[in-house]
Amino acid sequence: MPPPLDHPTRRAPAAITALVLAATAAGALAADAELPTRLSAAGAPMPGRPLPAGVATFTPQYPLWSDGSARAAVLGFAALQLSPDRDPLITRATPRPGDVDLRSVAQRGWLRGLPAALLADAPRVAATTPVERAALGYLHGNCAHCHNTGDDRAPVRLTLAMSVADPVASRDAVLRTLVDAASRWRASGSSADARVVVAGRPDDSTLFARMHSRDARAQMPPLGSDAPDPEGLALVQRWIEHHLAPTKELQP
Amino acid sequence: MTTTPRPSTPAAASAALRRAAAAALAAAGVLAAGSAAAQGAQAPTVEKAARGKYLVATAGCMDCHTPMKVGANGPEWDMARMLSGHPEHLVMPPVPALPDGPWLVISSATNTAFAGPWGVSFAANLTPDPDTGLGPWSARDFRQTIRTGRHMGRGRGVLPPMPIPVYNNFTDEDLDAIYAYLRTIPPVRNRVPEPRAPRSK
Repeated sequence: MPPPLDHPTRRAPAAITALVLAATAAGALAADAELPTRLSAAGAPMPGRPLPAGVATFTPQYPLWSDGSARAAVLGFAALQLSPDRDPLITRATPRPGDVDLRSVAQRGWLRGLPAALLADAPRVAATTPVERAALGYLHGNCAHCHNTGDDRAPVRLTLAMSVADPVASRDAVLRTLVDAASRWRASGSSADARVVVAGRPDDSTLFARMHSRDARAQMPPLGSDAPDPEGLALVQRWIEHHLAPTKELQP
Repeated sequence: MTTTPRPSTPAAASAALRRAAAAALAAAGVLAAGSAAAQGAQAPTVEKAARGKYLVATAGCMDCHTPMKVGANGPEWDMARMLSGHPEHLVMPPVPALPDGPWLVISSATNTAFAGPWGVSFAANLTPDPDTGLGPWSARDFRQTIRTGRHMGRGRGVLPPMPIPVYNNFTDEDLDAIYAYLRTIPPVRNRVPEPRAPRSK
C-alpha cells in the first residue's frame, strides 16, 4: 500500500517542504537588485492582468538561471516556484534574507488576483514520498514551460505541469503521461517501442535519457542548456529507481 | 493503412477535397451537422484547405514526404503513403562512402532518407495521425516550425534537405492554408525514425 498523498490539506503547518526551484529561482531573484526595473522594462510582471481562478502565474518574460550559469534555464514562474514552502531535497533549500516568494511578490503589487488560499496555505506538490515531490517539482520547474496542457504546449502527450488548484489531480495527470506511457521519441537507430518512464529502470526511460543527453538531436531541454544538471539527474534517477510502483512488463 | 482514391479531374479533385475537409471538421467537432450557420462557416476553411492543397502540390512537399516506389514507368509516389514520410519498416543500412568527386548527399530509393554532413535525416510524417503524425500539432506549431526552423517550433534544428529558408517566404496565411489541407488528408500510422548523427571520421 503506497503512503497517502501528502498535500497542503494534510501536512503539518510547520513542515518546511515543497516545491521545485523556489530556493534556486528565488535566490536568483534576490541576487538581482535591478529585477523590478528589468521586469518593468520587459513588460512584466503583469499588474492588473486577470488571473484564472485558482491558478496564478507570474511570468518575468526573461530567462533566469538556477545557478548563474547556462546549465538550466527557467523560462518563467508559476505559483509553485514562488511558494514560501521549501523542499529540503533541492539545492539551496534554506531560505535567505530577501528571497522573493509568492507573498512578497503579491505585497509588492507585482502579482494581483492571487486567490487568498494560496497566501494562507503555501502551495506544494502532491506526492507519495519526499523524493517524488522533489522530482515532480524539478520536472515542473524545468520542463513544464513546454510540457503542459495549455495552448502553448509542445505538441506531444506529455505534461509535467503541476497545478496549485488541484495538486492531487495534477499529480495523477502528470504520472499518467509519464509512467509506462508510450514515448514518441526513440533512441536513434532503435526500432523498439519505448516508454517515457519505466519504474525501476531509468536507463530504459526516455525521460531520463533525454535529460542526460547533450546530443542536439536528443537533449532535453533542447535549447538554453549546454550541460546536464547532475543534481537534477540524480534526483530523477533516484525517483525512477526506488519510488515508483513496478511497471508492467513491456510487450515485445 | 488508408488508401487514397485519386480523383480523375480537377473538378472531382476539388469536390473530393471539400468532402474531406468537411469530414475532418465534423470529426473535430467544428461543425454541427445540418446547420446552415455551420455550412457558412465551413466555406472559408474549405477554401483555405484548397489553397493549401495547391501550395503543397506546387512547393515540392510530396517530393520528400511521400515515399517513392518503382511502378511500371519507373519511380512514382506511393499514394497509399501520401505525405507520411520515411517508411518505418524501411530500416536503412549504414551510409555508404561517397565516391571521389564533389558529391555531398546520398538519398534512399524512396527519397525520404538523406545522408550528408549533418548525419542522416528522415522526412517527417505530415499526415494527421494522432500518434505518429501531426495529429497533436496546432496551426501555430506548424507555423512556428517553418518560422524558426526548429522541430515542433521549439526543439532541435530541422535538418537538411528541408528547405526552411525557402518556405519561410510563405505568408502566415499560406502556412495556415497548408496546415488546413494537411488536416484533411488520410492519417497514416508511420513512426519516422529519429535522425542519426554524422559518421565519425
